[in-house]
Amino acid sequence: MFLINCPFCGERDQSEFSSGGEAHIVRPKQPTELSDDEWAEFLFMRKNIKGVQFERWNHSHGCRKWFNVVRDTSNDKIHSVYKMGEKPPVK
Amino acid sequence: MDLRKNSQSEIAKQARNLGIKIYFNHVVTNTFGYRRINSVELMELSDDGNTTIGNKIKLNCDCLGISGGWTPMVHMHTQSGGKLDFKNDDQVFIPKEIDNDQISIGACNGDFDLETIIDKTVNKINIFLEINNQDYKNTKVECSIEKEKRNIWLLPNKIPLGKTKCFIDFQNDSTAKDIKLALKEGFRSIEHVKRYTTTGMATDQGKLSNMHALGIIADTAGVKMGTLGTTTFRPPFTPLTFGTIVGRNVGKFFEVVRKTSIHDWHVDNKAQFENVGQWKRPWYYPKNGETMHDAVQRESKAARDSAGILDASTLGKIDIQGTDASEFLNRVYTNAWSKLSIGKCRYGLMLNEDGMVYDDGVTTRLAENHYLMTTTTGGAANVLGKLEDYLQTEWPELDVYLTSVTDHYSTASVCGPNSKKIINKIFPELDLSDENFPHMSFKNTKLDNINCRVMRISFTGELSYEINIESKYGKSLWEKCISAGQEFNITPYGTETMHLLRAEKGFIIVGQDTDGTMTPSDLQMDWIVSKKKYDFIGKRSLYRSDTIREDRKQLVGLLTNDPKEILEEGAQIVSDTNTKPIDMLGHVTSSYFSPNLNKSIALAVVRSGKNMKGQKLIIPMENKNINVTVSDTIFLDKENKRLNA
Amino acid sequence: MLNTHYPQITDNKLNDVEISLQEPISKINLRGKSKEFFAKVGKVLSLILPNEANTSSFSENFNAIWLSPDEWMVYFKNDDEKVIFNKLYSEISKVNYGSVTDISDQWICINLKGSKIYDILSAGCSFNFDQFLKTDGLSTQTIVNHIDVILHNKNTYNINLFVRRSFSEHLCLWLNDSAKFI
Repeated sequence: MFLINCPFCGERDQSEFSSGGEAHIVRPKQPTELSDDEWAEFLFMRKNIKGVQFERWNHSHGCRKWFNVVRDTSNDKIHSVYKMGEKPPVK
Repeated sequence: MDLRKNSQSEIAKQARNLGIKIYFNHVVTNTFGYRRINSVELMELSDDGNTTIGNKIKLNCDCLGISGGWTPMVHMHTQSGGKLDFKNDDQVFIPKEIDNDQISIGACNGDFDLETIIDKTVNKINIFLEINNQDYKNTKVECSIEKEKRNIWLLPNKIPLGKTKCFIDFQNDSTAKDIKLALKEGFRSIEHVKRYTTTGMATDQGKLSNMHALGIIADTAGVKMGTLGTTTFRPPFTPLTFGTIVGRNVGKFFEVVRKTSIHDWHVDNKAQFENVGQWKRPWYYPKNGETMHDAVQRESKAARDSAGILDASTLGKIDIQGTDASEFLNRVYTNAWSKLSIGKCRYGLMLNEDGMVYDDGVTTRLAENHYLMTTTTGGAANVLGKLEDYLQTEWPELDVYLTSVTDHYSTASVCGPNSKKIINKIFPELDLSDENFPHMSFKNTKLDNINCRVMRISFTGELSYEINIESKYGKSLWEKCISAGQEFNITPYGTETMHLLRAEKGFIIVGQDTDGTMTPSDLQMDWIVSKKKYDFIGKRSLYRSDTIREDRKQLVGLLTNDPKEILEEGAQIVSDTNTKPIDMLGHVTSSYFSPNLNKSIALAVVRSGKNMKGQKLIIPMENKNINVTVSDTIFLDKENKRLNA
Repeated sequence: MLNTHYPQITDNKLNDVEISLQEPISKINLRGKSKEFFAKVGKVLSLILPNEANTSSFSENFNAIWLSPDEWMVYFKNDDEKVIFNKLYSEISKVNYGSVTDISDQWICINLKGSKIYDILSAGCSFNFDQFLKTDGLSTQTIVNHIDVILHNKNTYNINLFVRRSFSEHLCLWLNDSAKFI
């Protein structure tokens, strides 16, 4: 369990949030023009690293907004949070 | 007794002054007594501590206490990802400095005397909090300090290890001999030795035993303790009762319960309830000691012969507004929405991006830029979450707002050939003619000046109306329907009958006939996938090499050769029981005895099932094989005549 | 005539905690971002929607709770004829300035009063009430006993709790149970 600082509502318990996996994977604008392999890359391929990871989280039991979190998966330390559309901080 | 050769500490001095004899450089070699200890035997240690020397000394006693030395409690440090260092001086593991929001001070950092503790605490806190607190500088503490140290992990004894019991873990009774045996057996890793001997696996989680076990392993295997490492320090630090973890989540608070506004009526009318997600839904309404089967047969027959009524309030409802609402629906459902006229309803199938069916439901166009979407009962929250995800992250340019109104409306679904007459009694001013109010359309109307939305939609294949009203009037509306329907023997039915009725029509239930691996094509629902739309969620996945395979599992109907035989849901389907191993083709997803067709019907997913109509298959059961024939998925009223009955 | 039925929330006084049902109360969900949206809301409700997270605003008849940067809940004394809702809907939804949704029966309003209310909530809620309880008008969305709620601090040790109707009886059973242990 850890606390997440929702960029809209402030610091809340993790139980108010749901995780949306790896961040900055953009849905292709023209899916029909992609090969099976290219589409599979978007659809299935996700990193799952031990260490600092860029993730999407949703304050599902609060403001319902999605945002990004930079979290160290080895110790749950959150380095920063930022809104959708904002530039990710450099590692 | 004290292992050490001497001690100059204050406390030792005082003991001497009080005439207490301290046996320095001695160890206990044996104990005596029956049922309780009455004496101990001690001997002097050799210089190197490897053996005992001199004469045995016997001392009477009532009790023998043992101190195993100090062990820093590094749990908090390691549980937050910190590593350990081994401090040779004291033979203890201590926290390695880490870049983390915590510091270890005091005994948990391997500092045992008060003066050092105070000194280091002040220093570390000053650095940690970036302050300069000098209040405790040069604090002199008068306390007894032990400077002399000696550490022996396994005390020597003249008796061989096999003949005596040298306990390491006092709770699990594992001994030094067990640990040595583990090493002889070839276990090297501390984690393996722990599991082989169960040392450190009792409720103290090794607080008393682990260091000694490690020491013995290190000595025996000739490894340095620092290299050997430790086992993982897992929470909880001290044993917890299950009650602490469970709290009040017991009995009626074990699970959260959701009830519709009509719930009390169902209870009063003896409904048996089924859990659907967190909802309590009426399952069936047994009358006069009916079994579930009898009740469902009666309810199903009544719904098709005259009239039935279902509490459909639990379906998820999402209010959709905004200038891009139509475009949004185009992107989330497989079919086209732009041309749906105001006042009309349409069934939609929602896919995951992987092309698999995710949810379904009827959406109604209330106004130019205003829709009401319904979702499955269990999927409501997830669907809303998924739609919000796309709106906020993939398509922020769309002007669309989603608001859950699931609890705001209560829904009574009245179906059957007499449903029009009943609705007419409740809403005498509403024109129910097929021209004015056809199937898949809706009307805003009022009942006693309260707004109602009436949808003419059907999940049973019967002529059917769903009345939506604000929940505070839900029960009252329901009672009105019941009394208006009395002359037509209106029959309340539960989820089981609903499932049976829709199965007769071959309508799927997402989550029962699908399991996250079914595409629309697998369900023989290609008709609902728009060919014209450029994109929608999951479209690209519908022609991946895997999804266009001919031999995917596909939805089919099954008819048992013996029409009285009812298949078991989940049963495996095969075509040949002689060739071993038997090739599994699929499984039964829905199965009922249809009172309206007077035979058993089932839906199933079968490999390449689409092209198997008429083919004989076998359902092997424990005691027998059941012979079935693949059929169409629609068992009743293929022409949809009943919708306009 | 249609009758109204509300969830069975037994009004209760236990250990200096009063739990009471506050229905009927009208509730409207407002969504929007544009200048016109705020202007229309201001005009109809004589109220400025709060733009600071976890706060609320009020006028003579209306309370508005911040739910998200583009979402608010307005609640007020019952409006059986839907006059306010209809006005907002035609001034905002119909002309595409935003979204107006009637959620009067989506949420049940329960009032909690007494010096122990935060102890009771905290038994099933991870929200830190330190600031919340000190400042009148603060609001929050959180989870109490696994159930989503909206909390509105009316004034000292007096809050309105909004819970989805279907969960309301279960939550109230739990609140009463929790009160026994404080």
